[in-house]
Amino acid sequence: MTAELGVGETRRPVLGHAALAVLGVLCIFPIYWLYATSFRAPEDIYSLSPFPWPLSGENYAKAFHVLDVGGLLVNTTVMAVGIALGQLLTGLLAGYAFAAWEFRGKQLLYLVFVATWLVPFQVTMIPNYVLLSQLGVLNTIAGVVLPSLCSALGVILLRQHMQGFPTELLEAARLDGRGSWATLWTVVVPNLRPALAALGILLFVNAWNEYFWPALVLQRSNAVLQLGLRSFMGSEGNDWGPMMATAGMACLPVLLLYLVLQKQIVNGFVRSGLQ
Amino acid sequence: MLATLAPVEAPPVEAPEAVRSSRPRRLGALVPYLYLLPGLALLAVWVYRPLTQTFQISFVSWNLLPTSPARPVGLANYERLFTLPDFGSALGRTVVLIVGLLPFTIVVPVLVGLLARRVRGRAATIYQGLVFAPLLVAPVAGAAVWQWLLDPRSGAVNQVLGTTVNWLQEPGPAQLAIIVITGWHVLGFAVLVVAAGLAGITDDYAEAAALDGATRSQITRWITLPMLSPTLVFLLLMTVLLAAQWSFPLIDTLTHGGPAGATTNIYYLLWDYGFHSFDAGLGAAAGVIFFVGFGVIAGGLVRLSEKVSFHDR
Amino acid sequence: MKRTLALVSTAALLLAGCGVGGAAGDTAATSFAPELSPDQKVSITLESYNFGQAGAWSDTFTELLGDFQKQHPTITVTGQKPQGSSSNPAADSVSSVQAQLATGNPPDVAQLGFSDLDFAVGQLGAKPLDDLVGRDAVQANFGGAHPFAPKAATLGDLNGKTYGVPFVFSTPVLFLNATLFKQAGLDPAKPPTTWDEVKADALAIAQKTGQDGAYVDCVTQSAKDWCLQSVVRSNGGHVISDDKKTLTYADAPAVGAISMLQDLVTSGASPKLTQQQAVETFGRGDMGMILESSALQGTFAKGAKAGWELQGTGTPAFAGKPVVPTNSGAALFVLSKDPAKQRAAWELIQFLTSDEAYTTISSKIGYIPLRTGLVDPPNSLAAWAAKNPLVKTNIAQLNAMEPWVSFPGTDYLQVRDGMMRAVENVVLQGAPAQATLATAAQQGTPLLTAGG
Repeated sequence: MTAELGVGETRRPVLGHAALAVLGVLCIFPIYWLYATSFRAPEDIYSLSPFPWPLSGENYAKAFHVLDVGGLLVNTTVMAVGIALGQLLTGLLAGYAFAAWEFRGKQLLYLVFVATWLVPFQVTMIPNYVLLSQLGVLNTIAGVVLPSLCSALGVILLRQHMQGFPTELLEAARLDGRGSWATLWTVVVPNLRPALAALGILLFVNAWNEYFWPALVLQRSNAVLQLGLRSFMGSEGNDWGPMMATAGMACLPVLLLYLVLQKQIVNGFVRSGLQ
Repeated sequence: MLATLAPVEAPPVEAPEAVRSSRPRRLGALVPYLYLLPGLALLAVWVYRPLTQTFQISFVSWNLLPTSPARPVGLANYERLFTLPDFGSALGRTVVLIVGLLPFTIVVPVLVGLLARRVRGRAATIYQGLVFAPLLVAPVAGAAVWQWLLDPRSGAVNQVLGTTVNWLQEPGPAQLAIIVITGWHVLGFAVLVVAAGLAGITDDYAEAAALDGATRSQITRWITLPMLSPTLVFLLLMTVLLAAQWSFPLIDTLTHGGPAGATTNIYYLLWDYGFHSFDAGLGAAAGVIFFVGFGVIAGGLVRLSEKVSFHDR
Repeated sequence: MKRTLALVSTAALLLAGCGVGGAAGDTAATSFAPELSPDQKVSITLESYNFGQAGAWSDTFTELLGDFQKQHPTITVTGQKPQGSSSNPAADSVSSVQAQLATGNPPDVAQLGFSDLDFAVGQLGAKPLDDLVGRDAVQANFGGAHPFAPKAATLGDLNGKTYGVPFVFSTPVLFLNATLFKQAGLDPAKPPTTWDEVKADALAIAQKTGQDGAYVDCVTQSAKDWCLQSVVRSNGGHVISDDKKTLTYADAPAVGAISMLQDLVTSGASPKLTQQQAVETFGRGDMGMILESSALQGTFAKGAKAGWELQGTGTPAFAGKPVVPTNSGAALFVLSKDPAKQRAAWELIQFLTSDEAYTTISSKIGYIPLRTGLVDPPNSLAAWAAKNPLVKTNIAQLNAMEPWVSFPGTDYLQVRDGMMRAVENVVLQGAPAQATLATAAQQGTPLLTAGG
């Protein structure tokens, strides 16, 4: 691969553009196809023409007829915002502790966070389900949010961000006589805002796309958008049109969010993040 | 050893030590623990409590129902697990999955990262956006559209390739399809991580080498890649630990572990034992093996990352 | 690593602080559930996979619950679908009940497959209806103006007691695309009656029309084993011995039947498809024949409106041997422990298996009414039956039907899935029949005796 990159200086930008463009198109094609299919008329659903014509909103109409899309949208948003904020907060506090102090058991405690990657969802599923039932929060959004309030990824990344934080600023805060709590909120957080925003969006997207846990907890209603997809799947064969329409609606908010905030996300992640 | 789990290692910050010493010592020593408390408490309740129960269940024969007693069986669940032919073959398929995903999580992201440095401006942003987009699609929605694309008769993939393969019903193609779809999904994240790693590498060495007459390819080979190695180890670690988890929703939606078990990896097997076969003891034993086994692998990788991160500074 | 692991697990152990396992046995005999007083308000939950997919099934069920509510204003029924992630809600029905049982709050009434009968009674605590409401009342419900078909009424019985009231089921039907038959120069009025004819016709269709020939939806894990049992029995075999102690699907008659299915695929008469792909392909009109549950009649009829002609006939035979149809489908079980809820559950079950409910279910979903007399003129389903000649085929098969045999023990699904994986391997992936089935049977046998 290095040999390829070493080809003459003048050809490199062309090669770069070509390779990246091909990759980009390959990546985006399934998403394009999802929307293209969703706008086909029911009788054209098996059509392979690259452009859906004539355009039809019938699949969306059917999806709206079967699902309470507005209600699902609200529920999904509440769930995703709750989870993302919770993970951001626990990550911020833990990351601060790891980055700003030396203390006994630091490595072990860090391992406790990281090791959650080793615990499969299947292992925690039933015990947590039973606990939620005892807490009386089955079939509620709270039941979905509660077990997901702490994420290893949030802790790892925020610890990393904070280790790159200029020590002079912390020192200055100390000289001002501020305690660690005040320092966190008046010095660290304002300076980490881009990184926090980027990570927050990443966590939000993850939570938005959550499927298995809501499928278990929210049994009595199609309470989040991703679960709505199931209404069109079954042993009788899938109802592709409305399914694609629902999938399209489920993806749209995060795609728009990314489109608007791409620069901030990438910068927050790349610049202030990892060095 | 833990500190190096993250892509780029920064030196510990000294100043907070001073913050701490300015307070009464005994109280001050508690402060970091208080900050850790919310996260730790949540993990204790929602991750480690169930994990402990799993340890216990792995030594009993039980179907999880409060009305039936758990019968202690010692190590019998583990013995059964290792004698089941399913377990060994699922392990093998997990390795195939991980190796198959490496191009998507390491090779292509590095290529993209290096190319993107040459292509600057608006175009680079657009490419990045395109590559990142699949990450935003929910796995289940992604699975649905891929199922559609892979349909043997009316699917776009066969039409474009001119083949008649029934991707999800032939063992080899099904495994390949799962790898490609999982890779499609995570590529954007890996590209982002590599971009962050590359941004963290100072240009000083490269400039010095260029002054000495090194070509770009030489700089890439001997300076950039070695300095990127902690990032690559981080990605390797993520791939090894999370590959089976990433692929799970796709397998569950697209193939149910089939055809004839061809896409049943260790993670899916765990699911099958625990929740479709009601053999909680066997499922728990598989979960424990999973935890310990991947823990050991992760430990090994972290060791490795300690060695390579030496290049960094 | 080990040391840390030990530390972590010790810490977690302290946190958990308790052992696992339930109370030893819920051995108390089920006692009689007294009648509800006229103003006694009861709420119950009904869990049914029919609520899963949007369309005819869930619409019909919502409508039925509404009717029940009108007749029993004091009983509130909440319908719910099985929890879980599977795209086929029926596949989650048992694990869903199990998860809820683990919390101590199972649904009051659950619709579970006949294959789960052993497990439902032994592990999920399905209540014997004979004890709950009295054997006479149970039998009276099977009677009435249009009684249950005799073969159907006993399907929810185990060890001499009735646990489940058979609710909806179907037998395997060979659906035909008459349009493709004509295009291939075949006469759809003379549909194939033996497997040899199926193969010949399917090959003709595949060669002359370029479409798929015949798919037998009995060979994958997701199809479950009800229809495989029919094919094996029609060849004189069994998948499990009568005493349920030995797996017999690697014996000669079963191997012969499964090899025949393999030959359909290797000869090109049958395409290699997943269950879902096959159903969609046939529904689009791109396949000549499919052996499927009669419950899919409605789905196929809808597909046929796009311009092809749907026909159906009975399960094919092995030359010179009688056809043995089996049933798919499910029964309604009472899981509640509360006497008032148990009584309310019984009221609901009586309603859901009444003439009125079957009229709705059959005409809207296409399941055979278990009260078969309803299709005879001048009864409520006579007009529907006249429009759907397949109903007669189905009812004829019902009389020759043998029950779908469930595997015993807590590991029954592992036994069943192990068998179906082996069959899939043989039929669709071309593995050697005898050896593959024998290995699977050998691995499955010790699981038959596994107890909770």
